[in-house]
Amino acid sequence: MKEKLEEALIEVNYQNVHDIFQKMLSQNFTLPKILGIIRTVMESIGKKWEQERIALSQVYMAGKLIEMEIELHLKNSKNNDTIRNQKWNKKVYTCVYEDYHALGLLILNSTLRMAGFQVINLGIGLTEEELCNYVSSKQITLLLISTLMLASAKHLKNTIQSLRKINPNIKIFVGGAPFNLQTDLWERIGADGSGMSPYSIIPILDQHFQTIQSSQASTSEGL
Amino acid sequence: MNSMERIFAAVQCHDLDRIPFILNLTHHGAKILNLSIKEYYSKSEYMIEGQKRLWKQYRDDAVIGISYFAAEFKAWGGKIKFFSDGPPNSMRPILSNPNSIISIEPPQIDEIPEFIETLKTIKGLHEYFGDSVPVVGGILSPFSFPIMRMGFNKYIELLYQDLSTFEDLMKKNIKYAIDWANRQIEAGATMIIYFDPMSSPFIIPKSKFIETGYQIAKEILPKIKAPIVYHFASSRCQEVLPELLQLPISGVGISKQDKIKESLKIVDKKVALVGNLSGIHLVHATPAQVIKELKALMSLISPGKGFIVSDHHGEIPYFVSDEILSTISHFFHHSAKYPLN
Ligand code: B12
Repeated sequence: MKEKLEEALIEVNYQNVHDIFQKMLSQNFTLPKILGIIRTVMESIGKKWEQERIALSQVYMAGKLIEMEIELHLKNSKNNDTIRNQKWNKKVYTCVYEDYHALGLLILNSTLRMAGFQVINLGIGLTEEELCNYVSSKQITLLLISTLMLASAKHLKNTIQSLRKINPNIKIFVGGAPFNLQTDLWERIGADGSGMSPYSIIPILDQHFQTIQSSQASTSEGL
Repeated sequence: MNSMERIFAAVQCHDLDRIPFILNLTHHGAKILNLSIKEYYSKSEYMIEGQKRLWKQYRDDAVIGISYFAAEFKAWGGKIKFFSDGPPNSMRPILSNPNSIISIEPPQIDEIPEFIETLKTIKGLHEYFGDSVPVVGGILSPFSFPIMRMGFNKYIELLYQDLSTFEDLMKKNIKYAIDWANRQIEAGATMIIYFDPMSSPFIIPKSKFIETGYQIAKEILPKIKAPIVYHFASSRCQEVLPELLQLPISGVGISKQDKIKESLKIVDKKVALVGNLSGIHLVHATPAQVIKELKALMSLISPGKGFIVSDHHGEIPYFVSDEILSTISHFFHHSAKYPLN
């Protein structure tokens, strides 16, 4: 099933993707099982893009087709509860800083949603002041920033310092073309990490939430 | 040999005195004149003076007559944003619905201040440099332009969902693009860079390119009346080189991601390759690292016919220092002479 779904997505074949979803439902696959398949397939598609085996348009369309099918088949109140429960403590904020290139952000958001995170999109073209306001008013602890221009990426250095003044514990991950083209740029601007594609950041985020969970668990045990 | 002779020899894969290099300096003109980037791009006098000074400083093999792509977006009704240390950018896409876009008439070149300044810049540079240094002109391919106008996501969806609307959208863009290129040539541009990153296998699979971007290029390129370099703005193209060889072009801009030896083999002296330094790497590199990289590049392009060294994007970032640019210039004037060691 996984291979077939991946193949249909890479070919951007609407009908085949749809048929595979119908089949999973008619075979009474549980929601967590379907979400697990989606996550594995999308991770594999992300890896193929990083390895230059498929193009960006295929990555984008794969996410789009999956989200369409989720909307069509899986959005009912019972499923929504399951999805919400899975996500309740995995909240991430995303945005594009200074420039207006939204595609990277759209792919990032859809990837994270499919991997079970609750994504709050702060928008595009955000300034330092706007980001600082968001971080303090929404008490943001995990922020993912996308930029396409090198100038924006470089300006992030000061902005990250300002954000850390507001919340010294904030985790900030960055991505976009300048970071892919200069792989140590994220360190130079003081971010906590970066990823060539949104898929590569998922294990890092998973680990981040696991650490939080285990520290919460040990605190409550201590109590 | 002067730069014009050198570039034409390279494009025709003939013998030449040294490896040609083009720095692709645009907004560095503002730096050298101590102007803001916005001011610099507002007047052809500044751009002409900036290019002259840059050329005197680094003596590379071309001057650049064009400014920035967001100007085209503005010409079609979009809003743009200037940065103090980088090229201006388009802001939000104008209309995401392709049908509304189709109804918009293309801009009249003579009514757009940015285009008028570009044409005056090309003319001024041509008058000054005559036949000694090529003046580079360039257009954004009509196939890549909707990324800015519609938004990248909507445009990708259109390519997969509605090819007939896509074709309608292209019709108007094509005529405008041919006119814009030929007006630059009339003003004195020696060659036209056809920037078309949408056609890169990085962005769409080769099969989609053959169905779409390739067809657009086939229609446009024969009508442009000067040598053309097909350019992918730093995205890779090796996979589509065999198709590009069928087009009336003189060169291809290759990316850092492309393999030089294999690419040279594929094009087999039928067109020149232009590339493939990464401007973004140059921002943080030391002179010693740059020299090492240039030496490695030389060994790959040896014996060196049919190759023009340049950055792979078509514009060196503003942050690249004078020290690094001077290092590159010195290297080519002293260590890139034939016969290559
Ligand atoms: C296609 C392209 C264009 C197109 C349009 C692009 C657009 N979106 O508007 C055209 C030809 C119009 C163009 C024009 C210009 N471009 Co351009 N362009 C490109 C190219 C080839 C691809 C960019 C792109 O959109 N990719 C698709 C998106 C989805 O990729 P992405 O943002 O990187 O996102 C992926 C990952 O990075 C990741 N990701 C993104 N965000 C995040 C965040 C996190 C946290 C994580 C984990 C992951 C992640 O997810 C995505 C999917 O995997 C790149 C070169 C390259 N190799 O990338 C240059 C590039 C982006 N362009 C560049 C520049 C400078 C320009 C211009 C300013 C040039 C000029 N002087 O006019 C103009 C301005 C455009 C504008 N909008 O105003 C530079 C920017 C860097 C710099 N030097 O400042 C680049 C990087 C080229 C280079 N090598 O220098 N460009």
